[in-house]
Amino acid sequence: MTTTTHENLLNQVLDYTNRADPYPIYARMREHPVLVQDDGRYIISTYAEVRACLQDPRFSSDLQKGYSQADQRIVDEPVQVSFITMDPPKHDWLRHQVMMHFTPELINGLRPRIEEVASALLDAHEQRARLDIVDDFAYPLPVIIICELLGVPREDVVLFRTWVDQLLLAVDPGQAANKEVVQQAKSARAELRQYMGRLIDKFQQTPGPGLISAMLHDTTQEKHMTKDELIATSLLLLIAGHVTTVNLIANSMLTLLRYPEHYERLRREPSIVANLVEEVLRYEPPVQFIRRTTLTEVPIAGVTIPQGAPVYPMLASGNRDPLRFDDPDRFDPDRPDIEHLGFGQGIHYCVGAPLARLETQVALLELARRLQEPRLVEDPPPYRESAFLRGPLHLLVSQSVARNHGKH
Amino acid sequence: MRIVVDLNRCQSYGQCCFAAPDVFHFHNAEALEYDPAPGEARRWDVLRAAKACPVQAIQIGLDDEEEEGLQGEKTHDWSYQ
Amino acid sequence: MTGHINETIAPERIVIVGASLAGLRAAEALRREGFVGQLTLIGDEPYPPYDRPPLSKQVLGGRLAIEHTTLALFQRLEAQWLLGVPARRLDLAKRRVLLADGRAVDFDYLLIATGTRARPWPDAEEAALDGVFVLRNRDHACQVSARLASRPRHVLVAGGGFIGCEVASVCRDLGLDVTIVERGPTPLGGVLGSTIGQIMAERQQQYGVHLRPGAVVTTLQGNQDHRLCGAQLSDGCSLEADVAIIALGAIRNVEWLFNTDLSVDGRGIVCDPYCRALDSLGAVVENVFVAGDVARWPHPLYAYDHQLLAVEHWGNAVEQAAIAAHNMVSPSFDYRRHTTLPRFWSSQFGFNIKSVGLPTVADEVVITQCSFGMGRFTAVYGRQGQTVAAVSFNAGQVLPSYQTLVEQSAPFPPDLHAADRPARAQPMPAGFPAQGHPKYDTGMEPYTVSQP
Repeated sequence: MTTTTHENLLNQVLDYTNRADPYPIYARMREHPVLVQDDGRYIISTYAEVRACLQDPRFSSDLQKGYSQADQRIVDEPVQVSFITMDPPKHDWLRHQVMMHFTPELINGLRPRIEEVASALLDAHEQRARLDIVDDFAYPLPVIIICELLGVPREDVVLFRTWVDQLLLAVDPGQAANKEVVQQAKSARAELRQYMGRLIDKFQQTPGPGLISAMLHDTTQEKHMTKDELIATSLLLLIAGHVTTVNLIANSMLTLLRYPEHYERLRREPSIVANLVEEVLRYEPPVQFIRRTTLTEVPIAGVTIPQGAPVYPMLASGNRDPLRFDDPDRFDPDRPDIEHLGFGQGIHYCVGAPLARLETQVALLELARRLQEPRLVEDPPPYRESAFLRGPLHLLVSQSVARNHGKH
Repeated sequence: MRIVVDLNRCQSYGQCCFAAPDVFHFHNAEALEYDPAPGEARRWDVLRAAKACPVQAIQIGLDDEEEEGLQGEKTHDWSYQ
Repeated sequence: MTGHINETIAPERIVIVGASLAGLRAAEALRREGFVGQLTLIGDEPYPPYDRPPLSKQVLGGRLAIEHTTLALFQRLEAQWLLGVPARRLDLAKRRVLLADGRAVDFDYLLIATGTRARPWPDAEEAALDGVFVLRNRDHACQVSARLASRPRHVLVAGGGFIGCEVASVCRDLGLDVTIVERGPTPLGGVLGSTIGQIMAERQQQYGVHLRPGAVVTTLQGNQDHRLCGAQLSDGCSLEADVAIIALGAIRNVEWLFNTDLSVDGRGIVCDPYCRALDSLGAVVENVFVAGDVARWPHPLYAYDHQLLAVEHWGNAVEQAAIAAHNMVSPSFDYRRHTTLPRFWSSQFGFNIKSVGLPTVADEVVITQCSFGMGRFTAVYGRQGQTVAAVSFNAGQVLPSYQTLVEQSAPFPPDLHAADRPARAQPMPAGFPAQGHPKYDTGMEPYTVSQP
């Protein structure tokens, strides 16, 4: 099934004017489970097909194995990539190096610290009539936590924040054709690699706290990561460990503000928070789609995807598929079937999912505890540029200051 | 409380191990072992684990199944010939 | 005897013989489907239904207390439970189950879910030696677990099937010396074939198991205190052993039905795809259904030459029980067919083994993905150029796509081009023993069934 240019649904999703509500476009995509766009990109938009694709070994995460017509990849030089864009067996080995340290004990042990940071962030704003949930809370919280988890000095956030933004801009398929963006991203990536390399050198001399030093000094393995592999892996954890969680927290709060009955319920029944977060992962996932390529011809839902094609499994679309979810456009934390695609499926299932859940659950509980009758100042709020890592750029909320229940 | 994990459905994502580490863990690389009778104190951890499972393999049983009166008497030591 | 269910009369009394996983899930399904009549469950064990897979894994290894294996309930049952008493006879004409204690239980509809028991050591005197065990039920699991905790010097496992291998794996976890004696050329040859079985053999040896393939235990020897002290093998060797686990397969609990006209023998009870029991002429027996390990039925994917499928899988007990229960209380136009794909899992020697489909019917096997350095691989089985099963080893997250290949009987070998495919991925003979071996016989008798 081919489409003409003005019907290129993927480009419509990428178009910033649709950032606040891409869901009607996803619905149109779902009329055909697999669609080829006029630029040769394939989109998979229905739940069953997205899920099948994510677990099918014929689909590769190694984008170098594919051709690209519409995408300019920023990876032209042989730069070490992280395991998120690798296939087995290398992917499995690298992911395992991380998972050996990313244990339930480690993550659950962070809870008190996450609570402490969340509370302190809101302390700073409790006398104010307005706050920006993103800048004042949803961004700093995961950044602080991931830095502590990894052993990255917190004062360096100010240093790498810009580089991360520049790098991510080029990852977004909407921007990837923009030569200036691509160039800036390359130099940002070089800066980040240098930064991480120096940090690793420091840890090599003197072991420090955090996961990076732990992976560096791990003596239990026969084989070790090379320095380049450790740099790539550490950068992946640093970046993925906060840019997505910011959006999960912000998307959750936005949804609760739009459905104040659920916000009120969270205040009465804190135990509902886990259900809420899972439903947001379905309803407004922070990662809206991902990217694959085919290792061979793949017939799927009546379409044959050629080898090496750029393929976009649309996670957020699958999550709203009426063939899978009853009343999919209804935000319902009590729905019994919550088998969503928000963290993916298969071997690349989000490594950080347990941390993201924990941070978001703590964040929402703290917000609900502290903000009485918050109101959205602007709906829709201004969104980030990215259609891929989608969330509000700012989430302005007004609160009644007169009766606050914060700590002093 | 009692629970059952459908180990055919389970794909060893381990999200349950994070949500309720006293109840779920991997034996060796990825064979899930769990406590089918985790006790009331773990209820909320287990509910979170059930929600977090990417394949929804965790089922939570009714409370108070003791009311069913399942304590059958051992009437005899029967055995087949 | 046309096989028609009288659709105008709803059953008032349903009796389920067999109070383990299949019986319990059938009872729940009956209530869920709206059955409000009298429900009776009969079980030969004096315990509420409990989960068996942990018995050979974490219970044996001392990691889980036996009481914790009692199965969760998902539905209020309001049933009569007759536990600790086996069924002795079935009187189809009177619609009556006769129990071993003389009681009679009448039914309108009957579900047979009596499952299997462990095949005992054939010599009664040797079987009675102190230190000789089977492992099938709670009591066995407690006994064996206690004995292993006392750190025996040499454990002998007779039989290298799933139970035998899992027991040996627990022994190695506990640091105990263990020998597996297996009739076939490799362990697990009857369920995975000897080609994959050879990989398992190497893995077991890496874990320190002493493996004696191509042999059987002929005699168990006791000392003057009637304690096990050793064994003789068919290859002439003798072994020291103070504990022996007899893992020579399962016997279907069907003897209580031999007096009836049901189509039943040691391989199980024949039923149709709707779980209705058939008589010796292949006609549907009114109001009698079958589910679980005792059932034999035609599966659409595996009915080569009219063969019937019988499996000892947890998943089958659950699914077949639900289908049987639904059909018991539904008009025939609303019947569901039991076409669910067989699936099983095993955990042993650091491998999480998961299977979809039926490897035993295969003639070839090919490894499609492997990362031996990570201890992870996937094998696909084919029969005459069609995919019939896939088994993953520490690779559960790729199995769903293989399930699709099996459901579609996709061409074999599959053309996956996986990034981690082995350099030389040629199909090899699967290595299953020639058909007719009782261990994995799926049933060769042709049968006829009247259409609903």
